[in-house]
Amino acid sequence: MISIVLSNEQHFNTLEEQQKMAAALLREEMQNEYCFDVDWGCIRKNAWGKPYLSDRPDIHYSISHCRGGVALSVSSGKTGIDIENVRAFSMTTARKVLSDDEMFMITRSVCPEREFFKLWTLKESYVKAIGTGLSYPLKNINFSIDQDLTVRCNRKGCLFCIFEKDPRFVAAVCCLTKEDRIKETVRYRVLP
Amino acid sequence: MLNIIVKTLMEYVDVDESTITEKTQPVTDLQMNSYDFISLVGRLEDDLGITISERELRNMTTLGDLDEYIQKKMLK
Repeated sequence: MISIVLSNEQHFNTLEEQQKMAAALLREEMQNEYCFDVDWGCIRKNAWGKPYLSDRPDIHYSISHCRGGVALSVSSGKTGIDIENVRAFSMTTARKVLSDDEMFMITRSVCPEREFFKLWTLKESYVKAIGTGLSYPLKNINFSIDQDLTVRCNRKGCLFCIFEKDPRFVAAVCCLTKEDRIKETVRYRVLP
Repeated sequence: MLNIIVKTLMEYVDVDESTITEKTQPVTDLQMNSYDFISLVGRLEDDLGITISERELRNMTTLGDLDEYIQKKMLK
């Protein structure tokens, strides 16, 4: 299950508000999907800081938030999600994390900012799914994105999906799976 | 050098500057998101005219680590 909540400028602008919304979303979706009450005392972190439920090893989740947006992915397999505000970025930063082919993708794009954050959220979703965060070399994960948002990656055993309904945000989810497509249901909510 | 790092860091986080020390871990302690951390490093590279490889960055967890690395890099 993938749940994305977006808002206008009035909601979850601060880190504290975003964390509260993320916690509420996790509680709600765990109850909806698994009839399971999250015990906050059972949330642990792995060596790279990825949280997991120590009392429910059969459930994997990932949370991300940004200004005005919160995203949650819950799955029976390892999963990672990232949401970002589409904004200006520096080419120095881009060169640090993108391959030459990916750099070419953003330089030829009509909207380099959106293209960059598509690639960034894809990479971040992958390192969150495998649980290593930035300790994994981001340049080693290469993506290409078709016009219909089909994502191709040089890593095996993982599927990706990009969400960009709202022009202010880009989100991407990664599921480590042997299936041929992501079967999780998607819930979008836009707060007034 | 730590002063420059902290000044740049303050553009990304909303915390009391006096609480930041060389032992501060930006991602863990300040809950800075991954993109902002990489972006901070990119800013420091641009401002200081140095290059920090992603491989080297993976070994740095605290601001003190980053400070030490940049100082060494600038002496070369």
